[in-house]
Amino acid sequence: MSATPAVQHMGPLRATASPEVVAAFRLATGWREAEGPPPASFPVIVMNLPEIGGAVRAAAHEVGLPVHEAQHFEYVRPIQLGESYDLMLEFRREHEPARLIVTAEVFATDGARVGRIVSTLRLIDPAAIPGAAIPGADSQGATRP
Amino acid sequence: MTESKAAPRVGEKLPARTIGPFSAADLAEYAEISGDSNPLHLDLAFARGFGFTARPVHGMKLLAAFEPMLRDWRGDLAVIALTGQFLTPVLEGEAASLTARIVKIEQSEKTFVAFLRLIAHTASGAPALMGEARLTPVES
Repeated sequence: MSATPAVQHMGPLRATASPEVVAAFRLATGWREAEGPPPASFPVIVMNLPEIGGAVRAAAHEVGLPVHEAQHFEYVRPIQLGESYDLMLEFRREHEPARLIVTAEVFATDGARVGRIVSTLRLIDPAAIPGAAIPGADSQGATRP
Repeated sequence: MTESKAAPRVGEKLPARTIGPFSAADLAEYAEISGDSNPLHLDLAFARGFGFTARPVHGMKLLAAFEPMLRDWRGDLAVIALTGQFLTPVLEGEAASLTARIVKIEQSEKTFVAFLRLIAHTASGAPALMGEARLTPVES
């Protein structure tokens, strides 16, 4: 099996801040009102789109369970309800410890830059954890590797 | 809620907030909405196989929960950056406490950026998340 290249790119990948999904996300993350603008953290859901999840699974297949270690969002303009965006993605593999760092540069459909999302995933080899708790805590990634 | 666009003071602490305790249904709901259906959050046997006594709550659910807290504090400010590092897991059945304080203000002629340190703790007091938010006045 050949190793995944250290850096891969993908995109543009179009995603929409659907009002229904934004409302559900708001309620699931502690907002009192479903109605309102997309939270800054809302775009994390794009990291689980099939196209991105496939790349995460490919990396996980080589090592093990993807565990969400850190997350970053930054904006030059806010995400707008109902608007579509184009994502340019970079998947960067690190070793020792094994990590997959997914960076999405977010653009409006007219090409204007909107922001950046960075998801850092530790790749945990289950065989290396003999019944012990995983350091670094949260997990992410679409499916069981 | 403060509706002034005056910059907050460095050192100011936001009112702490407790969220949870989180049920298996809460985790399943977040998984369905976010698409993060990692079995660690959903399958108790799988989580136990990794040494957890219960299903861990999605770290992103904790980080995202800071946003309504920030909004309640200063509805006139918008989040322009949000970062979190996930540390000790909060487990199903447990609550978490969210705290935040202002650590820096960058003031310019017409506006400012407030830097906030965010910390979430588990019920036992361990740090579950450390992060940062940057807020700036909403453009009117």
